[in-house]
Amino acid sequence: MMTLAKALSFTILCKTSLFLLTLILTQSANASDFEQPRLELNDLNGKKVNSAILLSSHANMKISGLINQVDVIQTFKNEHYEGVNARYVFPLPDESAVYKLEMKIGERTILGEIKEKQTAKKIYKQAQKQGKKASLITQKRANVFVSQIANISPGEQITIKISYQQVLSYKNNEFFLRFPLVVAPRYQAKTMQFDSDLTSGWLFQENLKPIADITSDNLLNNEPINKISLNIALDAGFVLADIKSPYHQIDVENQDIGKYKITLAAHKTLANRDFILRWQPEQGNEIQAAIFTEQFKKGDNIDKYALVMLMPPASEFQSQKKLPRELIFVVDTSGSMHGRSMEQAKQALFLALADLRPEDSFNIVEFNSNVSALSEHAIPATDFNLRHAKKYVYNLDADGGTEIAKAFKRVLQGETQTNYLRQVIFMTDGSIGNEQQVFEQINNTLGTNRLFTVGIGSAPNTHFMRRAADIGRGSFTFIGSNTEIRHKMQLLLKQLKNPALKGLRLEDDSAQTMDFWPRPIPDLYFSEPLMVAVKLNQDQKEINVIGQSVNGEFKVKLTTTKMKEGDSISRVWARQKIKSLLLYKNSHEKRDQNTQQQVLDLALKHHILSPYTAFIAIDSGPISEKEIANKAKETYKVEGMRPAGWTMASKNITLPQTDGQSRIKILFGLMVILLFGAYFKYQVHEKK
Amino acid sequence: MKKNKISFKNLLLTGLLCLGIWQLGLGAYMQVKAKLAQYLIAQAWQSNVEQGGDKRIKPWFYADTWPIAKLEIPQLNVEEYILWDASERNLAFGAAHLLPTAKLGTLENTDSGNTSLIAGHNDTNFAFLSKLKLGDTYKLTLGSGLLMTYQVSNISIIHQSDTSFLRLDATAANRLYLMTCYPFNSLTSGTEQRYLVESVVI
Repeated sequence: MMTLAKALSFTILCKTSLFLLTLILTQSANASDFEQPRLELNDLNGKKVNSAILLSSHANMKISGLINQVDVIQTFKNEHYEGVNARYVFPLPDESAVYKLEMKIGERTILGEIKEKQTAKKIYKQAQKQGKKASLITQKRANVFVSQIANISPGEQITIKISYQQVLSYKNNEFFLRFPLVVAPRYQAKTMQFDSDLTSGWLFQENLKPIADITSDNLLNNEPINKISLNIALDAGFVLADIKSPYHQIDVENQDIGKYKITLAAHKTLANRDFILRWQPEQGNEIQAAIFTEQFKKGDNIDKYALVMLMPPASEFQSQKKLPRELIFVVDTSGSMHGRSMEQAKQALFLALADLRPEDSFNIVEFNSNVSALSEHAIPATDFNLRHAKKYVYNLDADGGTEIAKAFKRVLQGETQTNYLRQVIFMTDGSIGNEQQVFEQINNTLGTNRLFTVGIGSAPNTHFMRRAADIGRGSFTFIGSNTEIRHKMQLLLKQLKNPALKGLRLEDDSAQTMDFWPRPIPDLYFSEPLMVAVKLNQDQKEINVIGQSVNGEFKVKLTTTKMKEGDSISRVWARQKIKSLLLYKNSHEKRDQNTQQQVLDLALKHHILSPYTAFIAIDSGPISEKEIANKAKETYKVEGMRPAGWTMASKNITLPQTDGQSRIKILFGLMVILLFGAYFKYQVHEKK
Repeated sequence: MKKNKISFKNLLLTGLLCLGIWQLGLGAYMQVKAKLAQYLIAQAWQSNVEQGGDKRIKPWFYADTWPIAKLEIPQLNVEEYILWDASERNLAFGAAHLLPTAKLGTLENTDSGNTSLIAGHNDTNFAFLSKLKLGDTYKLTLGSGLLMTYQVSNISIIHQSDTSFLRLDATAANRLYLMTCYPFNSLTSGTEQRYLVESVVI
């Protein structure tokens, strides 16, 4: 009897262990389902609700001469059972001029109008209230835009086409184009708000318990819903040696001499990087100068505009006399630089230190929440000091906040030594919020200093750094990856060593200063081109570019040729003027002028988006009862990725893995031992 | 022949037993490591406080971290030391501060909207996160002696790639995040979800 009971209990024990073991294994299999989440939301009646807004985005580029014209097509589809409004924040290249908006509902196309921003917002709000379909485009920052669509009916699709243009960059005998790729947004529980009822009892009300179904199913929703595609028609006008996209795979089709068709290779788009395209003229065909002219008709008025690109010959930058220099390296050691960015900054610093001449003096300043330096004042570049400096750089550690203003205060408002050429090299990823304040600080305290900015990391704030360099009368260098450091730093060091072309201006035949923008033209450094838009006087045939080089006066004469009709160059001119006006709006000379009114007038005249204007398109057709019934109650935010370097979110922070396996291991181990024990006892029992 | 069969069976059984002991030992080692390390860390912390609070005193000679803060929750009987740098290696010993986020000391100034994050394993040091509720308070002491009291203001579950909550928002208050992996008793490693406890200084 006793033995029977024992045997029985052993079998049970054995079976239980086996059962538990299988349970564990099946559970683990279930757990891995979390890796492929789907978005499923339930409303109050238990009905399934889909993600309300689907967005696809497409860009068509037409590159001709120095201007790239782009149509960005955003399609919003409402799959919700109620009407919704959509709001979408998206980045565009730094100096883009948005000049057209088209809204397409079914077969109808409605052309947007440019209006003063507040007026446009009012009209939009009203249309939204009435249940009309409307769209509004505003500029949030120089490179960030917002599109809003009102009253998308259930199941309906609304397409908006935003047209902008940008001037190509030319550096190192290479044309360069950048397009911020909007990557798949992530649904977050926090932003899932269709109506207030759905959110109650949702997430914040009480402590989450792992058993609650709603949490485990719905919170992890990272399914990409934004899709982007890209088509580029490139009309270079000359034979190209090479077309490259360093971070994305592209398909290139050569259609005619100098004409190319470029598309993103399907399904291979890496989402987290800006799209970059570079192309080069054939060897020996280096571009020296280019001039494009256009007539812009507005009523009876005919204005002539020209876009001038000029590559000053290398000899203009070389001189026998070498001015003693004082180089101040400023390094951002804030927490956001931690990891790869910091290593890149260190490498760049080592290269710069190795390039110092004995007659130079230097200093290294690091800043995070506080500012500290290698030494109180600049020290001569002796062997001993350089060794000391290398050790200092080696020990730099990224940690803490970004107090950029403190750093500028220390280096710009420090001592002013007159017989030295003082160059400040600023290395940062530039993630700061108070850009305008920093611009003003630089402008007011620059003195004879020259500010060179170096963008480090995968997503630096190029907009901030390019403008800081403009105001600081230096240049901007962007280091995107480890492999580029040496090459880019060598170019920068060459720029630092050679004197700049200064005081550039444009004059007409009779030596009259012309209406050119940007103004003032930033100083030109080695291998940098001059790019300026100018309004021509009537019957003007010549444009003279005049500047001060180290060897005396620099003068180039350009003749205008055939005049085409068009409005793209006038837009470049207006965009550059707006940029310059806003950049220097609080400087001492301009403080009295009404910058806002000037910018508004310009933007309205040339139909471009600015901080004070907006594009609005309203469906003026009759509204049906159904549409009123379907009037949207909530605005749905389509969450896009933020532009590069704009927020911490885009800075490659990886959250550490913290799922300890200790408990499950203990449990598993115990189970196996138990199983063994049971089997052993069972064997013993059987033998009896 | 028969003998051979038995020995094969025995081999299998021994193997099974070894597997069991190995797994049990591994799990126990993790638990013990996380518990015992805290004693050494506590000693390092103590001598740091005695020396003014800004020294980097390593708890054991080969450690590449040091305690930077002490977290206390009296009602849950929790006392944890926070280590510098949330690397995988350091996390095995205790909860640690994620370096790219703001320093813990900067959370005291209320004007800049800084965010800071402390991570810990969900089976050892930060297992208690599941018991924290909205409105609960806890204390954080820095080496300098600065004592901050935090209140839990939000609890959420996010995907590991969603770091947008860390972004600098000058209009919001300073936030401290305590983070661990989710689900708590997950049977697979490498979960992609994170349990996030947001708290603000009160």
